[in-house]
Amino acid sequence: MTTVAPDRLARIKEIVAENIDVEAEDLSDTALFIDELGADSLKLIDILGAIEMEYSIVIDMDELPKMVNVEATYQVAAAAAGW
Amino acid sequence: MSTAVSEAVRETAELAADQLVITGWTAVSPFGVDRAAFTAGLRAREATAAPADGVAGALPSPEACLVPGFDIRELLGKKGTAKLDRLSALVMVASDQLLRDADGERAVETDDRTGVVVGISMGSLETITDGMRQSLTNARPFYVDAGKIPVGTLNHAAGAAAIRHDLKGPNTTLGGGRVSGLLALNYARKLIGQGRATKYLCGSAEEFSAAHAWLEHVSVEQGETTPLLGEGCGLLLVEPAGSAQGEPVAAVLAVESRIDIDDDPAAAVTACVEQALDRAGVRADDVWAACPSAAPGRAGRAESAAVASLVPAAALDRVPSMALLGDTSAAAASLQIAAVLAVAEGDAESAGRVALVTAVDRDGAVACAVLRLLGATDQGGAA
Repeated sequence: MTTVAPDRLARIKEIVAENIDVEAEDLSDTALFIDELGADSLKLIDILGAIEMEYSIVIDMDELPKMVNVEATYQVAAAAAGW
Repeated sequence: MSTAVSEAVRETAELAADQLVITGWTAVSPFGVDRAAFTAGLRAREATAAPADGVAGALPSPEACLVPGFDIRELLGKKGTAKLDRLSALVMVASDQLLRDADGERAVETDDRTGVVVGISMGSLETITDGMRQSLTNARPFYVDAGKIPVGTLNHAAGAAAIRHDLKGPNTTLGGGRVSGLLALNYARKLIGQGRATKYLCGSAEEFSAAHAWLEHVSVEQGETTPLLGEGCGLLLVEPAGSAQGEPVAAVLAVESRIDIDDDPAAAVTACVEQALDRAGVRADDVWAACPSAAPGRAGRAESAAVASLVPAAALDRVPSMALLGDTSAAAASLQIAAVLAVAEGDAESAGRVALVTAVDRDGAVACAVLRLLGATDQGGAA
């Protein structure tokens, strides 16, 4: 578990919010994308792709099931980016 | 050419049960977002060209005929619209107007065989070219906005409108450029005739964007000027007269299409119109209103000349020129049908009369439709 950088977390939250049509300020770090926010697997791919583009990283598609909420998505991005 | 109208044309004969009729229509156009604005703008023959200031990217010419006040999130809500393309939004807004009443409640009954057919040219060029640009210029080829890939597909608009209104009948997208609205009407006619659909949302649409403007700019034939471009969506509700729930405003007597293989667009239009009139069982002299596409370039001029040589002179002036809207490309033919219906609704003389809508595309496609106007009166223009 890597230390969370607040600015990166905020940006990832913005990316998630934009891709699942919610306001960033209404999005908690732990709300579940699929079960609580009505996202589907296509939206998760959109989020994954947007984070890859934002940080010029490559995230293995196998990591997708781990991206259940903002917190977990941050960890997946951090592992791929070496933060 | 005689301008006398035969008595047979004036009669609004009892419609056969399988006669395809138009029972609803709307237009999202440079005159405005809804049908009322379209009717008012058309009847006033308003010019719609204005500086295209809100459009992203540099443009080859500064003016365009855009749908005024077309704010996607305001019109369709925030949910699911963050990545929506303008083309799909135009079709979705039109479908809302066609199927819902002023309070947003469903006003038209649909079933699991209500189809959607949308004519386009090349889909949302802005979405497609943005994605291509990202892939070519970003650090890696797969650094693209993945959320825009589904909306960039050619059939997204027809699919999105069907999903929005839970329409589970045949869902089709036709790429036919300026004639695509007529191809869509013919497609709906055929599938309803074959019993594959009970009714259809049938129309065509075009979005304006910098990508669209540049493609049209570089496609201009030698010696021609860059056309003033428009955008919009015309959408009809069509169903057989025998099971129609709405009041029929026009009967679709014939729809014909062909390809100008001899590079003689006037001859192709003439032959197409003559065949359609023949199939409709009416004479060219019976045409009360004719609406050519006013497409830019040689094909459009040939079309207008061919239509003018066939129908009575008075028929040519009844519907204002589509040039008011700019070159609306794939949206053109559906907006032309909407224009004919808007004019007819304001003129009691239209009952039982024949209308002709023609379209050409510079790639050689030619199509036309013959309608019988059924005397629907102006309901105040509410969609």
